[in-house]
Amino acid sequence: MNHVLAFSLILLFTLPSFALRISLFPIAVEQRYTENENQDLYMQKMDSSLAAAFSFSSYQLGLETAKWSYESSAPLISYRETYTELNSTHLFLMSSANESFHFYSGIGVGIYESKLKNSFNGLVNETNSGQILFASGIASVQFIYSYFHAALDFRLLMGKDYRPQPTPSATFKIGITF
Amino acid sequence: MSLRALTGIFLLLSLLGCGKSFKNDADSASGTVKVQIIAPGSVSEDTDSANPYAFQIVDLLDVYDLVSASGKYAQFYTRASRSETRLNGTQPHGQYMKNKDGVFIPKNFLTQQIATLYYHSQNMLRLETSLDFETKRTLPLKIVLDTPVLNTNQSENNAFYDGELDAIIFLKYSEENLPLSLNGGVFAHEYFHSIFEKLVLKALKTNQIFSLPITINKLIHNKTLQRAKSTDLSTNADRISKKLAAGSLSLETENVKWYYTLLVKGFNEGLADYWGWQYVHDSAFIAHSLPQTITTRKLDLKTQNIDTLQLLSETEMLSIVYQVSDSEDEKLDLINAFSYLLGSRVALFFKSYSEKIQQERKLSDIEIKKLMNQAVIDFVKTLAKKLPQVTMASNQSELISTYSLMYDFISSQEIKTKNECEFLRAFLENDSKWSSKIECVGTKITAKGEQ
Repeated sequence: MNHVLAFSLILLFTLPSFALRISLFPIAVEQRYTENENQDLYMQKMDSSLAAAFSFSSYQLGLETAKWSYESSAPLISYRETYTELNSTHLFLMSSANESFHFYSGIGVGIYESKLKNSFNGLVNETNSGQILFASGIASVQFIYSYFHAALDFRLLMGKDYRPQPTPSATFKIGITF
Repeated sequence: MSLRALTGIFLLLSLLGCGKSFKNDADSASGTVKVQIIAPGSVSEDTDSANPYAFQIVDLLDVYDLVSASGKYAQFYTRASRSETRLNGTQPHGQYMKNKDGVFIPKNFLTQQIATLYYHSQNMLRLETSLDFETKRTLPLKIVLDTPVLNTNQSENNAFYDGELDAIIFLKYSEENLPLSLNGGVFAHEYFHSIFEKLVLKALKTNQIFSLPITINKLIHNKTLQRAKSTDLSTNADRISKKLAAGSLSLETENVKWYYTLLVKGFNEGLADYWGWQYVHDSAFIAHSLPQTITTRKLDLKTQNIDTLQLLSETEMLSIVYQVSDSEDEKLDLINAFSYLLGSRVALFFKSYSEKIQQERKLSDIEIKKLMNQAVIDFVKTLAKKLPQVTMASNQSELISTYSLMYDFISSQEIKTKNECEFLRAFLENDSKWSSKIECVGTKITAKGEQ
């Protein structure tokens, strides 16, 4: 396990030197079409998302983190589930309309951890899911002009706690590239 | 199409195919499943629990599908509707997190409700099969959540058993206390109505005397109940009694029907309250969800406004029946309210009797529950035999009184101590028919001087 971690860290720190382009996305807005307890589908906004991308000739590696939560309550009882996701995306250049517009598709693999805090009449109970693998299929439209980089991703996410299966999602990211 | 595009499509399709392996732990959980519910300690065998309701880890048995909490014992419906006597609805989709000990923790309120109610259904049904009687029940038990599937004015804060649908229905809960669907005592109360329906009410369907609508077995509005409780029945009862004796008032067919409606519903509610009490061992179990009922439904003498254990006498019942009402609906409300008053007294008798024999015979909680539950079921079986034979009464003496039904119960009891006998004698003596006319000889109640 330590070897994998060491290798990942080496990869992470050496990647920028191999990449043709590095993009940082301080603004990332993600909406998911998810299912609530009554089986109604609704748009859920992620509480926070951060992303970075390393572009090579026809391959783009993305690293992302997102946090979101879900709440349910009734008199005396409340539930709050907080998800923390760490995701890597592997996108392949499909086509370019011109020098600025590019179309990518690929997959994402990541881990999430959810913490459930349920309370009843002042008694609190906390449960941790541990780290769980999730995956996604991604189609991405990207606009790059000078130092400006914007991306709109459409995803289908699969994780054992995600409902519906797969969960559709749209992410809009704006950042700088160099 | 380029090779890249093909590769992309291939990757996407393989990923979607892999999606099937992203199955939630709950999807494959069946059989015996450990879950965390909210229940009183007395129900889950955690007798040390100081808090009446708390998180408890219990085993759900014979679960077919944990996600919808369907199994041998219960099946749930949301967004329910009825087409005549058929119940339609959607199965809920529960969400759980499995902890490191393999316990499934509900992630939302709906899931909490279905897991908790499954556990209570399992307890009720296992209790039922341990008793000696033919249940005539179809499994699993049908439970409806958050959906008004009946034509009732009340759309929230209520729970009832619907005999036509053979389902226990929980309406939306909007007060700030323990939701009704998590109240184990309320569930046991409603569950008992299903026993009474199957054994007694079905047997009464062909008897015209019981043709008046016995309203849905629901919890009643507290204001109506409070009004009934504060009504002084004695003055009215004396007046009615004198008029009936003098012949200036006759028993009309409709009023005899109302009388028996009150009697049957009173015993149905009373025994259901007892069933709720014996399950959670809490004399104010309804008040956890509906605190205002503490002044009307709590099973103690003070709340019931009586000095000794007693029921409603024949004349008190008639004085209720003869109260003038503007409409049949109003009369139904009135009879309904007083049936809860009678019910609380019936329940209080069974509770006190249970406590008395437990103390006298030094029985454990489990032993007394088994003994008393069987005694109550035997009493219900007696009602199922006796009540269908009721014929139209032409005078007061032909009416079956509450005490005569209780006399049947008491006669069937194997009295073991003098104190038990005195307890029952004192109770029966509240009826004018037996007042100062019976005594305990050893452990037997006999007419005075019969010895």
